[in-house]
Amino acid sequence: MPREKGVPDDLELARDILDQQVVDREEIKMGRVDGLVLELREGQPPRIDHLEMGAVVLARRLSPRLERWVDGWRRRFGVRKVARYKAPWSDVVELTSYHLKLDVAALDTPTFDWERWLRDHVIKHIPRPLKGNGEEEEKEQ
Amino acid sequence: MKTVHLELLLGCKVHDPEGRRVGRILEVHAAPEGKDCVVREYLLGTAALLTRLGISAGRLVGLPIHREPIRVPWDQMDLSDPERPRLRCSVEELKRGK
Repeated sequence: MPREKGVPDDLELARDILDQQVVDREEIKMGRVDGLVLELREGQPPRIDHLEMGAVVLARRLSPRLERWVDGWRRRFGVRKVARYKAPWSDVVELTSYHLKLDVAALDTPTFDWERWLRDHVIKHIPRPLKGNGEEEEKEQ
Repeated sequence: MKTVHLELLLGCKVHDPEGRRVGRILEVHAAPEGKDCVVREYLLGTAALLTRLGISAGRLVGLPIHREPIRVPWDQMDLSDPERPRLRCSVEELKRGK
């Protein structure tokens, strides 16, 4: 059967996918695979439905109590709109020994909510360097 | 749609139809099939963990012993209760079916 994407023919899911570095189509690091959801189908082998990323998913692996604690912390202080980012298997375009590439733009996903918040609330307010004549430098686009 | 979280399935004890403990799920073998990636078999026992780490129990202590993990085909694993996975056949039947 021809391979549809850059995924090896034989996969050990825990070894090859779980905790694997995730990158977007520009190879910008997005985090790691914290969870993997299998769909159980009647009379057919289970298939990978989606990957999950997020501190809450990672905490659940340790204990349900820690998951609730981390989720409560996220609700109170976090800026992420969702607790877990779900990437469907159809978005996976490549899997190698050093990364798992998704066909998405990292900046458009919830994984970059913190970076966006920092840009809008912190970086934006840092004074720009002055030119020789005392004017602020033009912001680079 | 019924789903199961792989990261929660790992480490779960598996019992046979008579309730005897067979081992823990330590690895899941899958393969791409068209646009999907489907599960082929579940690997049980410490040998599966050592396989995952790329070592064998024998080599770990300097002996030339090689233990194979228990390989359970996807259709012989009952995941209707993902916290208590059960085999649909006995371990002997699994070994005979090898």
